[in-house]
This record gives sequence, structure tokens and C-alpha cells, in this order.
Amino acid sequence: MIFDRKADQILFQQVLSFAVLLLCVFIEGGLGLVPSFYGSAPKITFCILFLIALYRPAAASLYPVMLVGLIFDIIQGNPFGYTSSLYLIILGVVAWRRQFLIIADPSVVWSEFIIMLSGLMVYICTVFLILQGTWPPFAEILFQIGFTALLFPIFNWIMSFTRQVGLYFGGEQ
Amino acid sequence: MARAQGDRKRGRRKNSVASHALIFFICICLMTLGKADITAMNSVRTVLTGLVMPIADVVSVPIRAVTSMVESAQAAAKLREENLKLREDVKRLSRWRLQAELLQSENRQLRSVSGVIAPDATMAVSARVVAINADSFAHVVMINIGRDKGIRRGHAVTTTDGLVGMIIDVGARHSQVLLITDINAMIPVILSSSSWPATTIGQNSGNLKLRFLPTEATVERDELVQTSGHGGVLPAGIPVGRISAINGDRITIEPIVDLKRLSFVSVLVTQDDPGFSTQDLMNQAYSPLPENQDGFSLQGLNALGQREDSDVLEGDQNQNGNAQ
Repeated sequence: MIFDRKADQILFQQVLSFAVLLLCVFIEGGLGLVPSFYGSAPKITFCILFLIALYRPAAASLYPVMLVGLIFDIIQGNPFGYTSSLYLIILGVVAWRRQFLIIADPSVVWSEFIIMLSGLMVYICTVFLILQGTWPPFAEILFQIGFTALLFPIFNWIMSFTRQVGLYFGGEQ
Repeated sequence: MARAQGDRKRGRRKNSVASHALIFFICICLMTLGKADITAMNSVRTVLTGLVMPIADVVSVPIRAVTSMVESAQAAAKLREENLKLREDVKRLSRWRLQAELLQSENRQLRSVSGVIAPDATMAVSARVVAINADSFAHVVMINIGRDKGIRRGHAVTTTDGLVGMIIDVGARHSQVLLITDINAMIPVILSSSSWPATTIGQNSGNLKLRFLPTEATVERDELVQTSGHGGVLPAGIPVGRISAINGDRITIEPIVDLKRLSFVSVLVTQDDPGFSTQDLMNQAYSPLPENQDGFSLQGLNALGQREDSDVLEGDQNQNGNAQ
């Protein structure tokens, strides 16, 4: 039997990132139960997906990401495919800017994340307007996006910390 | 060699972009199909929700526990202040209770005069809220009972305070509730003090908008708005909210139920819709009050509350006689 170590590693990373994203989706759905986040829970999955796509691009496979988005839509009663489309936009943006972001300072990565969130906000408003025929509640969306932007550095720090730990125990850069 | 490698890399990137675009297109198609409200799509969604629901239920437990712990700590800090407020509330409520008893008696007697039959075939089934919307796109919550408890689409969902929403999707052991704050929720209501009919429309935010109110209607702040029962979907008389702001034509209502803190709800399950029996109405509409009725009788009060002798009843009896 022949084992392809690299392929196995990639598969393991994909399974792991799928599990992490799935957990994030359920936590994000659960955050709706917190009165302060009613209708506008921070999109922690956006942060995690952005970081995975940036530092472990092979792990952020398209189909699992789409599946995670669909599961979130099921829990939340959103239109089917809405969250998946948001996740795909994140993957696309990161793939496009990766060469620059991978060597950039954390503050630059953060500012790029904020710019991407602003773009996503425009997309969310457009989809809302098309599907519901009215303007979305801007205050709620702004709160949600703003809170997500504030949380990003924390997740970035956690991600770099786990990478350091991985390197210490013989992982690959 | 290097050129071949570069070509391969470019080819792979092209494939990746193509598959990315294809999946994005599939997502857009799914959204469009979902909006088209196709039955097959809804069935698939119901089945998938049933599969995901147990996991969401498990995840919600620790989050709810932490939230309740934080709220308990906050409440303990405000105990003294709250105690004073509660004392005042008790005084105010005891006055209201007296008034409610008087109104209840008046209501009972008015019903016996007018012969209205109140349909009383609803049964409240308690349910636990498993997931509340964390997004501003849809204001929907998931509850842990479904067809197994006799839940059907259109059933009203309430708490002891008032209306929460209505059932829009039912699985074997779960249901989805469209909250009154959702942009697609339109509830026929009446103003409690003047009985003017109107419709509340959700805003996908904390408040509702009051629309289709007749121009001659007068509205006051803090006025209670309750379901009218028009359309036959929701029962009449369930409190919906209170008018919180009036800016010309723009009237805002604050829901009476704190939708941010939903833990348990009641679904008003109707057995087979009893409807109104016209035969019973005909039999009872003109029947006089029982002779041994004791207590305060409203016989002879007109719509303005002025006392008139039993001419109304006599008139009714005459009509009854003529009809026969």
C-alpha cells in the first residue's frame, strides 16, 4: 500500500478546517440566544475562514465551505445559498490578495479584512433588497460587521499562536 | 521544463476560478429557487433542518447557561432597586386586577346578551427555543416540537405576555417560527382602546411598523395593539405590542414580548378548526338572559354606556317572533 504523505496531510487539514468551521457556525447560531446579539451576532466564521484561506489555502476547499454555509442557512432560516455565497466571496478575495497579505503586517491584514467586510456589507444589502424588496436594517448589519471587525485581531492572534505551537512540535510552515 | 510547469500552474488556476464561479452561480440559483417557494425545495429544507436541529439544540445549552449566569449576576447587583420597583408594580397591579375583574364580569354578560360563541378549541403546547436568528436577514426561531405534537403551519406562537409569531415550517420534531418582527410578518391587529383595525409589519429589527390604519383613527402612545383575528389565521385578542413612537404617518410599535430573551414558548394548537356554527348563533342570538343571573347586569346599556330599559331585548324578541 502506498501512502502519499502530502495528500494525506492536505486531506487532514481539510477535514480539520471543515470541523472548525462547522463548530464556528453552530456557535455563531447559538450567539443569537445572547440578548445583546439578537439578530446581529458577530460573524466569527468570516474571521476563521479568512485566516484559514490565508494561511492554509489547501485546507479551505470550496465544497466543504459551501456545505458549511448551507448548514448555517438551515439553522438560521436564511435563503438557501446566501451564506455560502458570502463564504465564497471571502475565499475569492483572499485567493486574489494572498501574495500580498501573506507577507504583510497584521495591521495591514486587519485593514484588508475591514475593506473586504465593507464590500460584503454592500453585497448583503443588495441581496436583501433583491430578495425582500426593501432596504435592510442598516443599524443591525453595521453592528454585526463592526463587531466582527473588532474580533478579527483576536482570532488572528489565536491563529498565529497555534501556528507557532505547531511549528514547535515539528509542523510545517 | 519551466515553461511546462508554468502552463500547468496557469491551467490549475483557471480551473480553480471556473469551479469557484460555478459554485457561486449554484448558490445564486439556490437563493432564487428558495425565493420561488417551490414545494420540493421546502420539503428538502424541512428534512435537513430536522437533521441539524439536535446539534443546534446541544450547542445552545452551554451558551444559554452562560447567558443566564451573566444575567443572574447582573440581576443580583440590581436587587434592591428592583425590589422597590416591584413594590410599586404590585400596588399598581392590584388596582388593575380589580378593574380586570369588573371588565371580566362585564364581558361575560355582554357575551350572553349578544350570543357570541367564543371558539375555545385551542390548546397551548409548550416548546423550547433551540435557535434564535443571529442574522438580520430573517427573524426566525427554531423550536423543538413538530408534527408529533399536532403542530401545523399557521399556528400562533405566544408567551404569557403576548404574540411571538406563527409557525411557518413543520418537521417531525421541530418547527420554525416566523417572528412578528420579520419583514414578511404582517399581522392584522386592532387598537385596544378604539378598535380601529390596522396591520403590523416587521422591520427585521426590534420594532414593528403600523400600517393601513384608517385616516380618521386617533392613536396614542403606549396604546396596546392586539390581534384582530381577521383572516382567520391567528386568534383574536392576543397582545402584540404597544405604540412607542408616532411621527406623522409613521407609527412604531414595540413588541410586548421580549423577543431577545425567548427560552420557552407556547404554540396555540387548534384541533380541527371548529369555526362558527351559524345554527348556534341563530339559536342564541335572541335568547334572553337567564332569569337567575345575579350580579351586575348590562342589559339595556347602549354602546355609549347609557342606561336604557330592556327595549333592545324586547326589540330582539319581537324580531324573533316576526321571523317565526
